[in-house]
Amino acid sequence: MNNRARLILAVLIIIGAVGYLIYFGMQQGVGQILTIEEALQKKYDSNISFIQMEGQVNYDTVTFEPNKPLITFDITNDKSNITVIFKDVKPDNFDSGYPIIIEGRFQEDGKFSADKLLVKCPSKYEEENEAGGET
Amino acid sequence: MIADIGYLAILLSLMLSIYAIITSGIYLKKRNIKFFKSSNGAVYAMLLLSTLAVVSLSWLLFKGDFSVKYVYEYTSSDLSWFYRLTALWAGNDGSLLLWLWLLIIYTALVVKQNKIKDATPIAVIILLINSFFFLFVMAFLTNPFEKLVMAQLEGRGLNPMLQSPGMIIHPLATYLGYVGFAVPFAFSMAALFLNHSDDRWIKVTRGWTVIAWLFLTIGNLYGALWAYEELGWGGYWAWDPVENASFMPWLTGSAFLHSVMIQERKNMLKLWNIVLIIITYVLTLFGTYLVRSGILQSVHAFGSSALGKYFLAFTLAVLVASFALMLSRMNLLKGEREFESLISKETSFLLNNLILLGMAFATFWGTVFPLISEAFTDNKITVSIPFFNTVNAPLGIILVLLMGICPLIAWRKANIKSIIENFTVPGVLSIILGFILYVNGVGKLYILLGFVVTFFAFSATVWDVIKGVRIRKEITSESYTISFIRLLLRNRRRYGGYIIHLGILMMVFGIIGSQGFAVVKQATLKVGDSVEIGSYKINYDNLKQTRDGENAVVYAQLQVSKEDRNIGKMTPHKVFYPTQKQPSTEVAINSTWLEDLYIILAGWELDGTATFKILINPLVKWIWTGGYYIVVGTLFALWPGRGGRVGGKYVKYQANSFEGVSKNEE
Repeated sequence: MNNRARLILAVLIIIGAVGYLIYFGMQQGVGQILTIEEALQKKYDSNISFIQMEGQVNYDTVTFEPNKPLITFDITNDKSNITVIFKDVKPDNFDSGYPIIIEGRFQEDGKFSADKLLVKCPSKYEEENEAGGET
Repeated sequence: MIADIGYLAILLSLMLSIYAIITSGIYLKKRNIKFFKSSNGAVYAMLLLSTLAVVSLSWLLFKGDFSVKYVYEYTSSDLSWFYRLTALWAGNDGSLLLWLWLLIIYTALVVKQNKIKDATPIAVIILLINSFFFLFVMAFLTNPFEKLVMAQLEGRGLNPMLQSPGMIIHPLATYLGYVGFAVPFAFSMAALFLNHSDDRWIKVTRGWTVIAWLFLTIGNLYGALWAYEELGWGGYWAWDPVENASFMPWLTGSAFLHSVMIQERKNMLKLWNIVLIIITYVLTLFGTYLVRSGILQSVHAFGSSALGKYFLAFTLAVLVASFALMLSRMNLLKGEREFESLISKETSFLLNNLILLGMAFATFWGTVFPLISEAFTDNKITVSIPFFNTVNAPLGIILVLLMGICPLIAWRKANIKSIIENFTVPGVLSIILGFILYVNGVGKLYILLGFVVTFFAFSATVWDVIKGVRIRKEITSESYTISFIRLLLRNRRRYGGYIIHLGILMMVFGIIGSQGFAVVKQATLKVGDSVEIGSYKINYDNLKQTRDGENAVVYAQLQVSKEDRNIGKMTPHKVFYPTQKQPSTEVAINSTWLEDLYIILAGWELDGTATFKILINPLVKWIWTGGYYIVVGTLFALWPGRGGRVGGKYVKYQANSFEGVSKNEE
């Protein structure tokens, strides 16, 4: 084998390795992004490892137990609700009224256990969700 | 009034950019220098006008003119003058103006330097097309000087999380980095236009490339530091699309920095370098598209504005046009020297490039996977942190291993003797270290391997410097100190690179430590209670309230000791800003070389009972310190004058016996 062939082989091995790592990484768990309705209708594959949803916090339903810590609240898109439990401290901006993104899975009792909760903020670029909608 | 001046400046700049593009084009056709001079004049005028626009917006922010929408949305009258000025880049419209301003400054510098007489006009046209795009966007889509229908008395205020020193350096540095890559990109395209197959475009833009890379590094690092100190979740990197957006061009930019050395020295990899600079520049645009379009879910809320479409169209246009140009010039880029041996500096650089590109591709894949999957299956599938870690950790380990090997291996063909000389001591030391770590309970394979490989790269680098000093001492009979200083000063490009590598290794060390050994604990404490975490004992003394200007601050007083040694007081707190609905968490961090004690005040009851989230993050300080090494190393390598040339002094006097050089040649 000449150098060129050996080099091409080495390059192919690396490309193959990267490809395999990507494949292997995907096996570590992918999630599905759903609307609240789709999640309620169980429109998700059984083999995904988490569900991601976006919605608003219904502030009338929030209970916060800092000593556990545990937050329970309903996530809503004005039409449907899902009860969410999040076992962590309250993130900054949680009460701000901005939409949130949650990642997790449904428990057997139908509640959604979130292991990640992101508030779509700090709104570095646009604030279209604020009341008034001047934008 | 001032808002009108600012907007007028943007409109005039827009017209001038068209004028300058046309006159430069005519110059290329007619070769009448008058047209190019006129074009240059237009560029300088754009510099003045864009500066005027930036000053106008700064002035409006400073004065708190709430009739202007941007000022109203991002500031308030209680904000300090300092953060009023930084609000210039807190929002979409202002940050685009900043971007444009930097781009025009760079363009004017390129015009002023005029380093390759025939290529400069084309490079300027390419840069101006970019300016035109930004000006167009500002003039018609996101005018930063837009006025409100009804002037407001008070603004909405700047998000408290952006009121942090990290938010000054991070965006500025990131933009300087993003925009900086436009210059090598423009010159690479100019070289293709002119059918230049040599490496002049690389030599001329090397400084730009290195500085752009440095700024991008600082930008990413300060973004991480900001997340760590301000966001208060205990980490510094979450593989968020926005983080990935600036990590990807950093990876490909790093690959480019290395592979251009091969072209400079060996006239190889011409095509590859063009591909890398195109990808890097397109990724900076793509990153901007991701950040401004709202197409992906992210912590940063992006309004899904129409801006995204324009950015996507522009990004695609740049990508297609530059690849088309490259393909039309394939004959220029072919017919280069072949690799002579599988084990040589050239091939190890190629490997490093492939790994960096592999990491960039995997990160890209993970970032845009929701879009891909939606396009093909109607399901939006997303990946999470484990994906990115699974892919990038092993690739990162190989990359660090190569960092130890690449600098020390000979060009063309490495001989066994020098390989043994270079790597025996570092290799044996690393294996011993691995054994010691294993015996002491570091069981996780990745962590163990990570530490061993990092130490190997570190010791190989240091070992090489030691050998260099010895040889120099033998030849010159100087003292060790003088030898060391002169060795470094006479080969600044090489040893600047070494310093940068040491900085990266420190960061890797910190990343491995904090990923492998972090400890988290939640505790709800009554006043007077204490909690233990690791070897720390934390006593909760009191909960207090105070005022900081307009803001109310609630803080917990903690007395912290480690192994019965008093460390002092720590005061995690929450700040209540009058213009914000929610308090902002300020964590307390006690940072040492070994570990950070990181305490978040999560909440409290009226009786003073408070809940804390406490983390021990090992070795994090090394990450930030590594950043300073990178800055120092870059400046050391770039500083003008003696010793900053390719290969430094050795090559100069060994040039005649070039083929026979096996040692100490870069």
